[in-house]
Amino acid sequence: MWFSNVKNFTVVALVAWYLLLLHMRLPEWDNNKTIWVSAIRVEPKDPWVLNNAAHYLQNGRTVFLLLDLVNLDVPEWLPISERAPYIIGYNGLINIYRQNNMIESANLVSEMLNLMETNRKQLSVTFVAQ
Amino acid sequence: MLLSNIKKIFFLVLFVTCSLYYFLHIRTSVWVFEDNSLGSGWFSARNGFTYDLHRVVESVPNTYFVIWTFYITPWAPYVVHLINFFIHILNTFLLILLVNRWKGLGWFTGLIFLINPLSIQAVAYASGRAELVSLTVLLTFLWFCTASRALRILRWLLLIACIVLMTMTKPTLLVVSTLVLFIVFINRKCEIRWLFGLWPMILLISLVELIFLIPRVLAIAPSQIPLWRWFMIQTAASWKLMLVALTGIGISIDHAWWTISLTFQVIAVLSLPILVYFVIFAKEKYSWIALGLSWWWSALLPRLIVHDQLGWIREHHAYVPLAGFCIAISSAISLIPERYSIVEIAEEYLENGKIQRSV
Repeated sequence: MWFSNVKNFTVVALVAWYLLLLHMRLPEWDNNKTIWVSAIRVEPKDPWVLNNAAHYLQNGRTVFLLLDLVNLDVPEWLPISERAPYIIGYNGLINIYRQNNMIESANLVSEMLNLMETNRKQLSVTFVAQ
Repeated sequence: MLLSNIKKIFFLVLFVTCSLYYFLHIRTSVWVFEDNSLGSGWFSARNGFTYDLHRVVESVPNTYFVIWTFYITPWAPYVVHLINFFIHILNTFLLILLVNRWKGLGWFTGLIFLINPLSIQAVAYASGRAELVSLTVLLTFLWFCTASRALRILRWLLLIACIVLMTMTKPTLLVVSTLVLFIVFINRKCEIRWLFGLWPMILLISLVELIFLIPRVLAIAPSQIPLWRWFMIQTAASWKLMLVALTGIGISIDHAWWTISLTFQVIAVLSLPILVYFVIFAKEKYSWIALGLSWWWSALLPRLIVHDQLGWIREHHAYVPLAGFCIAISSAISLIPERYSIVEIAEEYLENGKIQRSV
């Protein structure tokens, strides 16, 4: 039998395993319900972020806002998980920005919060230190 | 037997992979991503108007390849993902061409690279475009350095074009390409006459490297962690990603990053001398595994140095190193002898209670 050969068996097993993993993992990249609005390296007051967030919130999608934290000291009390090093709610984010005198960024998140209340949709804010 | 039909198998797997990507990812994707540096990131008062010259050129792929395609077809995010996937396939074919010219195991290497789960993030995450393009440039560069038989002057012109493109995608490629060239040179599998002509090229790359990378390294110099700690984290990250590249276990399901435990860091650092010994003193039989592993480390460590001071790993950074690692995997598997049969081993074990055959 062709698969009784160790070499052939290794090749087939490896290819089958990788294809299985592709099959399992790709749907998770679907982004069907998630919109990533990244504000990395964009000025916080940039209306692009707010406009897009509003648009997608109105269409019933969850918005993840990625903010540039390059000048921010990350506090130790932030929860750390396997998947995302830092995930906090918008209120926590506003507080961090205010503590670091990044008022514009805090205002941006406040506006996002208002948008959420206006649209009565769920808004998640994920920030990733960049 | 199987490896002699590897070309047919590759195209079969390519068909399956295209189907998987199309039906499970591209067709249903809804995408928006803003990574626009122009006007704010690289030439703003916040950055003192002098910070990060490389961003001028580095932002081009993200801004013009990703953002433009999104603005042209904002109603069809799948277009962006489709382009990413096509670049991935293009990279696979470039790798096949290059490795076939070097060693002759190209189709198998390409097959493993095409479906390796570690490449999912770079392909599926829309902003991973720069990683994909940077591997295209690196493979093209290596092709003109070591495999092309075109006119010498033409090769030099195209090499310089590749260097310019490197600064426009990921400037760390300048380091990577130099290191990989050295490794290939040491292996002595290429046309030696042409390789001797490469010394001015290596010097040129090193100079460009100094101009572009030193400001960047200086910009991140006031790191929050001491050097020894940084070294442990980098080593552990490269080991962990290598395990992921081999087994596919532990890949993330989105573009979040993961952290590494202290125990793993200690094990990784203790294991490092064994690997360095293997790479440097590998017998000729294992020289291509050593080349693949060297490619892996030389391509991965500069990326981690520049970006990940705190030990987070972003898997799309492993896309360029992955090409080298796939060379190592395919070389290792090709060393397994054909005559070694699982059935016979099992029969012998059942009869004697132990295995006496030698490989």
